[in-house]
Amino acid sequence: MVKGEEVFALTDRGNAQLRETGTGRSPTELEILVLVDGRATVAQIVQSARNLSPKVVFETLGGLVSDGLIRRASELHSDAIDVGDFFSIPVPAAHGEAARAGAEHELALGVSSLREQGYFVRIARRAATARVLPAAQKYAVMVVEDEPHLAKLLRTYLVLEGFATRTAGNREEILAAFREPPRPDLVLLDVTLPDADGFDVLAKMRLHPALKTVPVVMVTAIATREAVIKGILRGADGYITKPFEVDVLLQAVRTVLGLTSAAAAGRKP
Amino acid sequence: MEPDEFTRAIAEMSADYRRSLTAKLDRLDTLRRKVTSRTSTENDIREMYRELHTIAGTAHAFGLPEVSKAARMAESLLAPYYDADAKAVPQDVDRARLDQLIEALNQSRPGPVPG
Repeated sequence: MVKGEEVFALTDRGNAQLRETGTGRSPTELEILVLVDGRATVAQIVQSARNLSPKVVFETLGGLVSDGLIRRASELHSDAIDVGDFFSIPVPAAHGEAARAGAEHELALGVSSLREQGYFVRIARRAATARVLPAAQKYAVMVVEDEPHLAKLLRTYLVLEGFATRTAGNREEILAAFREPPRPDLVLLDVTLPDADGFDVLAKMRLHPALKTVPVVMVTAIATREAVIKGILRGADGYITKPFEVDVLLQAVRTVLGLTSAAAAGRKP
Repeated sequence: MEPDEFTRAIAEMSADYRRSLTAKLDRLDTLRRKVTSRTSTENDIREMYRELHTIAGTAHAFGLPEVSKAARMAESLLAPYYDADAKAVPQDVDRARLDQLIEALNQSRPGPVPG
């Protein structure tokens, strides 16, 4: 029985079906599959699929669950993620002119927030609502930062705010942190790492079936226009330049997760 | 974590960072001397850049904005020599300017940490 407040996510099989042509799935099923992103509630999917009646949406979701193409996000989040070949994922070299123009536009919009608030958040990817958590679960934030003092400081502030955290400072630790259940709700990603490039990690995440919808905020001392555009083109949800005020970073975390200021510790959107 | 406990934890982390900074700045000074005496290698320049980059991005968070700022200026000078594809070669580094910037960074060193 599907309920309005539930959140569903694609299984590996569901992801594969979306990528393939000639799957034998009906247009309605494909439309719903596209809308299932691990964050939207069933009620929100009903609103998005305006051409379909709520009854059809509920029934289709039920059918997709039965066929193993989607699962309740809470069940998927409890699984360990297979990231064995993560650093072997090939990343396309260039983006089209249209994508670049879009990134330039977003950068132009973000310049004012950079000036006013000291950080850049990609509004287009801002979560409309927070993911609904199972009881006793906290939002999981993964901090990728190779400076151990800064990683520890960030972790301490995030824990105080009520988040569950894990940190990683190199390739091996990144893989281990991704494998650690639950799937992170957000990744704070440094760019200059000893044996990896944060932009490359971001691009690979966006191509990985289990990680592509995980919001990423770049937290980096590389503050050039080109670097911010590169981050946006590769799918960053936010871009914060170092040095930063901790309050600014925490605000960006809440924004990208769709949380209100007071909600993080209480885990309620 | 209780507020008092949190405040203590942050103070300890800041003191710990300041202690580690002394060693980092000493190392930068050693590398600076190698550059000045023209005995530096590409790896020295890369190490120097990375260290400056990290200090620039971190010190501010531990209440040392001047250190961050000074490190950022020196980092900018070395940026063209850091990238593996960079056309600039370490021999071209403006030694006088680097000397000046590392000296400024040294001047911004925080005082000794009690205990």
